[in-house]
Amino acid sequence: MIIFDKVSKTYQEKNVSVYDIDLKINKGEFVTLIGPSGAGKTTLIRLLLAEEKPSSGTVYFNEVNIHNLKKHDIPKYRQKIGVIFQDYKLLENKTVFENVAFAMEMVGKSDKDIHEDVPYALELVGLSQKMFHFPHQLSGGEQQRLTIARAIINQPDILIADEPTGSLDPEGSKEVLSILKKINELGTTVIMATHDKDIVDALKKRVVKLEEGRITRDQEKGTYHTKE
Amino acid sequence: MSLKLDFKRITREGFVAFWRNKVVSISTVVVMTMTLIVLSSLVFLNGVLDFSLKQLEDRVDVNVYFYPEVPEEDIIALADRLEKTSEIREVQYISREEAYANFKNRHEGDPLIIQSLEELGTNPLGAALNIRAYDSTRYESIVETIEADPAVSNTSFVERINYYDNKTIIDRLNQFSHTAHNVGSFIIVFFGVIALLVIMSTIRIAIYSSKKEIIIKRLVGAEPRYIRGPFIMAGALYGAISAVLTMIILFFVTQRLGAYTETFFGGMNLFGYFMTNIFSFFVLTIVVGIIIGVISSHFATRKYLNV
Repeated sequence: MIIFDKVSKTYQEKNVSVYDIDLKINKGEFVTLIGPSGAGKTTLIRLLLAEEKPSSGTVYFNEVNIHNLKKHDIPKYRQKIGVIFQDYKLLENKTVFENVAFAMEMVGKSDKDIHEDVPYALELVGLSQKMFHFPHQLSGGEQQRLTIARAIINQPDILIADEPTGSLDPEGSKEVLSILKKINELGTTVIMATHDKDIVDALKKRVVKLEEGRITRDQEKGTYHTKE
Repeated sequence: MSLKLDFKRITREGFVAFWRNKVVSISTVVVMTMTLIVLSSLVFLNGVLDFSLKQLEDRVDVNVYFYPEVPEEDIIALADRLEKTSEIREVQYISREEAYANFKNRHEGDPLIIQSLEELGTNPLGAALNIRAYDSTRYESIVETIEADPAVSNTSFVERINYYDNKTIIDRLNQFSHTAHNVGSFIIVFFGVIALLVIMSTIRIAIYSSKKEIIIKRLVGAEPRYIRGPFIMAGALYGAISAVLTMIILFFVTQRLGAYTETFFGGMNLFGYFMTNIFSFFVLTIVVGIIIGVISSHFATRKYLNV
């Protein structure tokens, strides 16, 4: 379970801030974070990744205050989270295979497991033919799918997806969405930040709307726009 | 994760990163090699300085002149006693006859002296001991030892010790040698530190180019040792390859210059010096290369691991 308890994060040099966030996400939930650019969606994700510390308030993961974690415990915590970054964050000097294998190496998986699981995950995202390509040899959509493969390979407790369909065509977006739904059905909590109205409406899952750093709507089985 | 598996993966990743970042790796190795050559040149400079000063110091000696009537066996007995002194490197006995012959040779072109000598009819010169010390600063104490010898304290034994005639020159030479050593050491330390800073900066720049990679690895949950390890491995690899290249370059350069340097440095052949000390050179370059490579990588990555 993830809890944001009266969390605020303000930056001196940036406009993006979040104020007084109270949010509880249960295990196995699929939550969609929506809102205009600069509303604070990415800030919430960075706080959850322990990449940033809140200015006030507390973020809990399974009753542990993640910002009280010791420096050497943070990697272990991050290994429980799979992240699909908006800007992909792929390792440019590693092949497609190695990018996914790296995440498995981090958690101490054996070479045998890596050689069995990575091709399977790449097949799932349609990249098995490009296993030995480098990220710069892939299209934007393929890079996006590679980040998905890396994010799901260790079956994380939480999957965070920051604009996962941003660079995909409608067909690609549907595929990504079906992968996320499948992962969610297997018990992984999914938090997805998106601008894509069609996806939000098609999902019919919990919608949390952020505006100017504050939660303005939290709706079970919501849509992009309020239907009142 | 087992240590063995960890080490295997870190090593493999270090080697792969070295190979795939060819431009960065080659430029780092080139700068490191040049710097190690500068460091080795400083060692050569030190060798040349030592050799030249030693040659200069070798020219310094002290002669003890005895009265003509002092028996040869007494002088040889004194020479034996002096040879046992730890400060003395060599004691050479010059008999009266040799002294006479040397004197005549020296004044061959001076008929007045040769004529006067012949008119005398006998050999007026006494025997002498030529003494050389290991260290030119020890002559004063050696002369004190000679003067303290019971045989020497006898007034009709030693006629003269030329140390006092040459004392000023010996003192000046010692002072020059001391200053030259100090200046030499300062130059070596100064340029040595600069060389090390150059290597450290080069590796910092190499790692700076991988800043994004470090940040990504951290965000996907890599532990610091797993992020830092490959860079340290690559740093060690830069050092080892640069050391081997430095040795190859030094071999060919000193081989080419050896004969010229022998004339230039008054008998010191740089190639001979290199070959005599090849093991020390190799240990120096490889240890400096690897240690600096590893330490620089360690500190350069630390900066990006603090989030």
